[in-house]
Amino acid sequence: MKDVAYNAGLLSAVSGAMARLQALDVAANNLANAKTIGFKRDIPDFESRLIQAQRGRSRDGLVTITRLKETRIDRKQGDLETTGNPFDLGIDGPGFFKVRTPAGDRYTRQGNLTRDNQDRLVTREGYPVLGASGPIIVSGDGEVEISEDGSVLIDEQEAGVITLYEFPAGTPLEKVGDGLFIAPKTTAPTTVANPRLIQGALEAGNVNVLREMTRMVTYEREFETYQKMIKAYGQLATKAAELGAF
Amino acid sequence: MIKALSIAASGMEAQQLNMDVIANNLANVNTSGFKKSRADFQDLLYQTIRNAGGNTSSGTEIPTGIQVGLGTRTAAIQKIFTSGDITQTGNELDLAIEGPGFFQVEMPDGETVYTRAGTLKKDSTGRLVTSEGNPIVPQISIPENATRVTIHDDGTVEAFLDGSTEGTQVGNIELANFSNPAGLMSLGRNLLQETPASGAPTTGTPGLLGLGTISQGYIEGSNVSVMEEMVNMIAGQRAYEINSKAIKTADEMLQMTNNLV
Repeated sequence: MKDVAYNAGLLSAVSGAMARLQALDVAANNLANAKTIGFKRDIPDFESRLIQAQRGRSRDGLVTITRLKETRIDRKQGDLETTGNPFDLGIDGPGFFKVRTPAGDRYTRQGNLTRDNQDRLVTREGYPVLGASGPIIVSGDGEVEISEDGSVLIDEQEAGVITLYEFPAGTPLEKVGDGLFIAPKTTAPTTVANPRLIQGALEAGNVNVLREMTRMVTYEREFETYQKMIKAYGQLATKAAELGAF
Repeated sequence: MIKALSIAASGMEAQQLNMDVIANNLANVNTSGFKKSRADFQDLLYQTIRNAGGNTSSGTEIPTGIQVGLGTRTAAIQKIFTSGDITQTGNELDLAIEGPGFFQVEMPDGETVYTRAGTLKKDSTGRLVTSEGNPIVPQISIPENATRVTIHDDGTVEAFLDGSTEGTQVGNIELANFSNPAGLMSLGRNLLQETPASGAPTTGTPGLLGLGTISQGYIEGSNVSVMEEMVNMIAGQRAYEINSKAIKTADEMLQMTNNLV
């Protein structure tokens, strides 16, 4: 196959189709988590790149391909829904809870907390939520009140303060599942100065189902276009073979 | 292989469970003292296709990687302890708790469990028991010759013997409360069990220490709101449908790929 242009076009089409397949996975995951508490949707970003094809065989073997460049986390606030449960905490505004997992400290917006057998305030996975001085202990049997600034009061006695942490805008957070995020080692979190914690409420996921569906349909249509292109190149190759061009 | 299929399947599975929870809430819309449940979901693991912080071919650092989540799963199903509507029955052994608190019930194995359903009965020996026949704690016996029983809002049980106009105190109903009632475990039959999440119970006289008061002749209905559950059901059904659409889209894309050959 000497015809570089033919190869370049085919490669572009294949790369476009593959990128749409990956983007569909991202959209499907956003949709699957439409009802997940504190979920932040992923945004797939595409990029086009010039790569060198058939190195050594052709001088002008440059091909433009498109590919998934990155998935960004959309940190937009989700709706707060009231539940009335004293251990349900919704974060209104910026910030993350810091939780201690066996693998290290993680950040989360999932506020459907509970209490473990050591009286610690924990997530559904059993990871303690950290305050300024370690895990929050909710001992005794008194009424638990958590004020907007994160102070935990048991029968009006202060039992600790839940601290919220924030990262500078644009910090690439990584998701590890179970609603947990990891921050890059180089970025130190700052505490949120004026946190707003709503007791008895939970933050819903920030997936807009309608928009996500639209994106999904778009990926499918774009995929279809690339598929048509690939097919056309295939037909071209057949014709070329018939003509004995090779 | 395309991941969207299994991702969307996990979404459908979660919504199916959500629907089960809603169906159970709806089925118990007329169960006295019933507390509705809610399913909480969580995102599954993420597959990192490209790490953030790696180097690009041109030598710059990749600021954000590519992560594809693998779907959703159910994290917990928890009870919601808002109060139900209190309705009048006129039955002298129907008790409703106005405010927080639980009746304590002794199981045959001696364990104390908790309930909000105050549809009490008298057993053959005159003890106050639940509809299942388990005595309430502390045990209260109504003498055989009692013609009428009055239960005050602080739990004092007074029996009027042989048509006497003067009541005789025969016991006190005590209530228990938990700092996190949502952590209680459901045993079915309207009974709840203490767990580390709920904390240890505090018992006391109704009306004191934040406990609710007792209303004789009333029962607490279920806290299920049919309207709300219907809305949740529709939302759940739509979420299920959307996930099935994702499967269909993935399938169509695979089909197109097959058509290339």
